[in-house]
Amino acid sequence: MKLQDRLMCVRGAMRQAGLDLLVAASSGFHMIDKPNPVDWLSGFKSLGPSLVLVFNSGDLELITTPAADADRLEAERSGVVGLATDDLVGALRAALASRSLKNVGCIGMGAMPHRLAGALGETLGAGVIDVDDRIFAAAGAKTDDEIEHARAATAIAESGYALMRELARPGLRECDLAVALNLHMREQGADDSFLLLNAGPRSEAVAPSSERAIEAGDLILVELSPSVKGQFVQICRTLCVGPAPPLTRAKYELLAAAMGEGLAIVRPGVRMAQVCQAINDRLSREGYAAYSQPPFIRRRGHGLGAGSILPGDVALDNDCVLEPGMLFMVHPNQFLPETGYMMCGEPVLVLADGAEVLTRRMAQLDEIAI
Amino acid sequence: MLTMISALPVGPYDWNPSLLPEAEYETRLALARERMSKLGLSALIVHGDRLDEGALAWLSGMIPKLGPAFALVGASGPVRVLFSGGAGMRSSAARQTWIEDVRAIGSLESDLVAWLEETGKGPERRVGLWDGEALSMRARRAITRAGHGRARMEEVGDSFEALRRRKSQFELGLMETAGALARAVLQRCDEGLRAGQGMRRAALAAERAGYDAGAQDVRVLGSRRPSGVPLVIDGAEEARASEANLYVAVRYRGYWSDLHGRSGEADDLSRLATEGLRAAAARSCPGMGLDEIAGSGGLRPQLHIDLAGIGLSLREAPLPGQADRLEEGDVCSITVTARGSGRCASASDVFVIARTGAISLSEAGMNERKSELRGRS
Repeated sequence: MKLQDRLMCVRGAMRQAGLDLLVAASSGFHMIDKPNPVDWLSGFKSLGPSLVLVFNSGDLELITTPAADADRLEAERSGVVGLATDDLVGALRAALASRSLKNVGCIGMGAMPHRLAGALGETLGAGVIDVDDRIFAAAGAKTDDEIEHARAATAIAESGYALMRELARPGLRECDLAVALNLHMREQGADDSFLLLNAGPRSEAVAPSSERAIEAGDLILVELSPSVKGQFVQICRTLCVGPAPPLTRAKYELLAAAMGEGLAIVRPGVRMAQVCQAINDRLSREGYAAYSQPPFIRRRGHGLGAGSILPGDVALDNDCVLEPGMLFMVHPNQFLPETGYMMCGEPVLVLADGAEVLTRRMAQLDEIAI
Repeated sequence: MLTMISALPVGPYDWNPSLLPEAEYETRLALARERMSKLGLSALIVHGDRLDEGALAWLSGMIPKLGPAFALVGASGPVRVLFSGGAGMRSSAARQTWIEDVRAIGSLESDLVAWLEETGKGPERRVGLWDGEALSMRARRAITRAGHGRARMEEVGDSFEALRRRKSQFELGLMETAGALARAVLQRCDEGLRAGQGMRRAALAAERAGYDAGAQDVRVLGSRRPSGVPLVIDGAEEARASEANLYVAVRYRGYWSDLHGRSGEADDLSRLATEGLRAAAARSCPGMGLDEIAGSGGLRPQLHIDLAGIGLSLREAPLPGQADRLEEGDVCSITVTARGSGRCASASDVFVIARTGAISLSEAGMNERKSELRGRS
């Protein structure tokens, strides 16, 4: 799929909804599991609040802030009419002048700063409706470029993890390890990173890094999630500081096997809930049914932004049906009473006849010598 | 200057009482409650998010990492912090703040309802919302729903932002360090470019040096052409640049400093910008309007002056375009940009507004950390 194909799908959905104009809004914040409609429709990663206007006539305009970003907009947009400005509302007003638009739909407005959203809403007039779900659903697959970026980002994540196995040692603060990994991944070509990393002998969950120093016997939990040109991926790993106790190793193998059960059924036509159920079933058979629900677990994976996050969460209440080109995480990350929280997870791409795990080296419980 | 905000900050963010003692936060809480009392508010909701965490950080020390966070302040009693993330992340979040009652947000609306019910009742009750610029429409709607029938929610940000303007000695010390780090990062980037490194490599090496010296967040922007505007360096491409305009922002223990600079020989434009900065600083006295000072750039048509507060936010009160006037104790970042023939050059510094005028924070003599950084780089 190309970006133009996505736009064609979106215009089809606009016609079905009777929209004259679709306004896609971004706050300028790019996040792994939050949609960014501007990035999705233009391929441009904005610094500040921005809009893409899709007219039913076929015109498409990108308005981004700040004005000082004009050079980057000029260099990076591809065939899209674009404007960098310090006055987003004024630019919207100008773009709508002399056009007669009755039915206007918005996506992404709920995540916009509320005062700005209010001013944009006033400019658009009454009767504007939120159409996030139906517009995003029109094109859930990644474009060829996004898939290429996802592959590059996966290689960077794996390179980051390889470095982590070299650097991690007792006495090193979590945050210093996290900074080193982020810088390394950026040196490898990542433009951003969502990196959760924490350590402890028995953690309740993965969490943002603190200044706690790593200790012998800790399990280091990490979600390495670099993005390349705005496309995030993620790998989830667990690293034992010193030799892993046999019980920990056995429980980790159970998690990896549960992940395998989930990955094994990924193909077009399967619902996300089924992927979650496959993982839960394996854990339930081993006596962990009670731990396969809240508060211990909310989801077993998720879509990968920052454009669209379809197919959404790997969760029992997600009936989204998988299609070729969809990209998401499968991670049965789990608190187990014997070991605390442990992590394993891989990015997976849905193919026409199955699925492809993008990582070269699947999660395993690694150890560092101390 | 706007920079790309990373998806998740990873530097050292735990609260360090030796740098910002609990007494400092208690003073701030007392100031906030005094302002609440003046405004007739029975409670206050303070919001912070990745796009603007200044107000929340001022009161709680917390820099939200995973989404919106809130400090809930009653007329008396302990403050509560709500953060985005799972309950299992509580210990990580709690390390960032002096406040003891730290809870994960389950449902924002339900959590606020529970707190409102605990702290008082009645539709005539007035609760202030100090939201900063970043509160999302979705979160704003949840707050409105929570208040329905329980309290009148009033946006009071402007009144409370004023409390953050005058910096304490603790804050000035931290900003001085942030400034020294910013200068050292800029210098490191310049050295890399002069040594023939590409912009991306030089910028990343400079950022690494900043983190090694204790920075929480380091952002380097560089122009893609010799005299262009500094831009986000987000691609993998490695452009060579013997001359470039640079911008550096560094956060240290919550506090920002920023700096424009140039790699390569000074030219007429950069000299003009430096002269303009000197002139703008001389005019930056208590009582002067920000827009008046910015307007003085018009005396030299090529000069553009940007002046705004800096501290826990990269831009905070006083702000241009809002009829704000400088007050003694304000800390401001002043940038003067000279433009001509499609080229530009900027000069900037961070100043404390004293009774007698603007004093550069970099002249305060804190250079230990800078020498430490140079030693390690």
